[in-house]
Amino acid sequence: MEDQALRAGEKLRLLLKEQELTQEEFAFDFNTDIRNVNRWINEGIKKIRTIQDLAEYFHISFVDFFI
Amino acid sequence: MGKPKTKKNKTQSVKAFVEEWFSRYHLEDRCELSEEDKANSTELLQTAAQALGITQEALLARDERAVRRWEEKYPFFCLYNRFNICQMIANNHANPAELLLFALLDGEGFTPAKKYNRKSIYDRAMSTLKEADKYLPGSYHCGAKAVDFQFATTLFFTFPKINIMLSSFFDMVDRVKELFFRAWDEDLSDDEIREYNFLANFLQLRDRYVPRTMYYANLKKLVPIYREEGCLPEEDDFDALIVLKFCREFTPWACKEFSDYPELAQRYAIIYPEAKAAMFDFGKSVKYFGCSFRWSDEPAPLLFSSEEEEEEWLEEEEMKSLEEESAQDEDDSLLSESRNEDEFDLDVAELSEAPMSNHPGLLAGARILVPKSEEELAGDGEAAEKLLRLGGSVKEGGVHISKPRWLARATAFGRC
Repeated sequence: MEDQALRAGEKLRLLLKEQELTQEEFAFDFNTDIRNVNRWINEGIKKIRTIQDLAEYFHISFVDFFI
Repeated sequence: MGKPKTKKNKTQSVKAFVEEWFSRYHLEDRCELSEEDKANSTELLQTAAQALGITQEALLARDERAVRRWEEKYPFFCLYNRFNICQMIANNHANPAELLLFALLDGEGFTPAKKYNRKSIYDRAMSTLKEADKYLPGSYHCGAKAVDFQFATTLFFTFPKINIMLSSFFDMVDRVKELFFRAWDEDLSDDEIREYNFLANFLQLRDRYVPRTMYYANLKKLVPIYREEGCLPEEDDFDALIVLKFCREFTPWACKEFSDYPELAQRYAIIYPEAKAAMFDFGKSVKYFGCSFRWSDEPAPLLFSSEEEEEEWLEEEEMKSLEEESAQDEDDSLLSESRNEDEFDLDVAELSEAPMSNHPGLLAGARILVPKSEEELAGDGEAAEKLLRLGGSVKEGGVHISKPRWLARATAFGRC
C-alpha cells in the first residue's frame, strides 16, 4: 500500500512538472489546500477517491498513477 | 377611525410588493430586511427602494413600470426564473404549481426523474474496488461487507438560452464596473445611482475587507481611501479592491448547453474562481455515481444528530489538538532557545501534516466514483466530458483562473 501510494504521489509530482504548475498553483486550481498537495506528493496518495478525482482532472486513467 | 386602517393596509401592500419583487429579482438573500426594517416603514422604504433601484415614491405607489425596468433591460432575470424551474424539475423539487406553469409554457428542458438499479451500482462499486486493490492494496476488504451503501448522482437539464442568460449577466457586471469607475471622478445621475445600487445589490458587490454591499453612498466614502492607497480606476484595481460574492445557488453549468460556450464559462470563472471547482464537481456528479459506504470490519463512524453537534465536536477536538501542540511548543522552547532555519522548516512541515484529513473517528466511511453506463447517462455523457474538461487542467482545455491579485496586497487598513 505504502509503495503504491508513494508511486501515485510521485506521478502527481511529475504531472505538475509536465504541466509547469507549482504546488500552490495546482492547489488553487484544484480547489484544495496546498498542504494536501504537499502531503500527497511527499507521503503518497492513499485514497481511491482522491486518485479518481486527480485522474479526471488530468484526463488520465486511474491506472496511469501506478505505471 | 378609518385612516389608521387604510395606512395599515397600504403598509401591508407595499410590503407585499417588496416581497414579490425581491423574489423576482432574487434579492431575498442578498438584501436582508431586519425585523426592525420590516416593522419600521421608513426603514423598509429606504432599504427596499435602494435594493430595487427605484425611488421611494415609486415604491410607495407600487409602480410596476419602475421596478420592471431591470427585467426589461436585463433579460437575465426572466430567463433565470425559467432556468430555476427547469432545475427544480430536474431535481424533483418543483411543486405542483410550478410543474403546471412549466407545462403551460412549452415543457422545454423537462427531464423525467431517473431510477437506478441499486444492486447493479453496488456490484460495480465492488468490482471497481477489487480492481483498485491491485494497485492500492487495502482498497477492497475481502470477506467484509460494504454497509450503509449510498450513492448520489445528477443529470443535466436542457436550457438552450443559457448563452443569452449569461451574456445578460455579464452585461450587468460590465455596467456596474462602468458606473463604479465613473463614480470615482464624477457624481452619477440619480437614475444611474439607482441602477448602480440595484446591480451592486444583486451582484453583491463588496469591498474585499468590508462584508457589506457597496451601495453608491459607501462607494463615494471609500473612493478617497482607495486613492490614498494608490489605487486607480482601472480593471486591475477593480479586481484588487472589489469582490462579487459567488452565489452557490446559481449553477449555470447544471444545464447541458453550458459547455457549448467555453468562452462564457471562461468569463464566468474569471469573475468567480470558485466556479471552476463547481463545474468540475458537477461534471463528476453527472458522469459517475458518487458512492459512500463503510466496511463492516471497520469501526462505525461517529454519528451526530445535527451539523451543530458535529461542528461542536470538531471544535473541541481542534482545541484539544491546539492545546497539545502548544504544550509541545513549550517543551520545545525549553529544549532549544535558538532555532536554526532548518529546524524551523521542519516545524512548518510537521504543522502541515494533516490539515484537511478527517479525524480518525470520522474516517470509517469510504468513497468511490462508479462510472455510469451509456443508458444511465441518458445522453449526458458528451456534455459531462466537456464540462469536466472545462473544470480540469488548463493544459487540457480547462478554464484559467487567476490567483487573486488582492492576496498580494496589504494596503487595506484604511477600509477596515
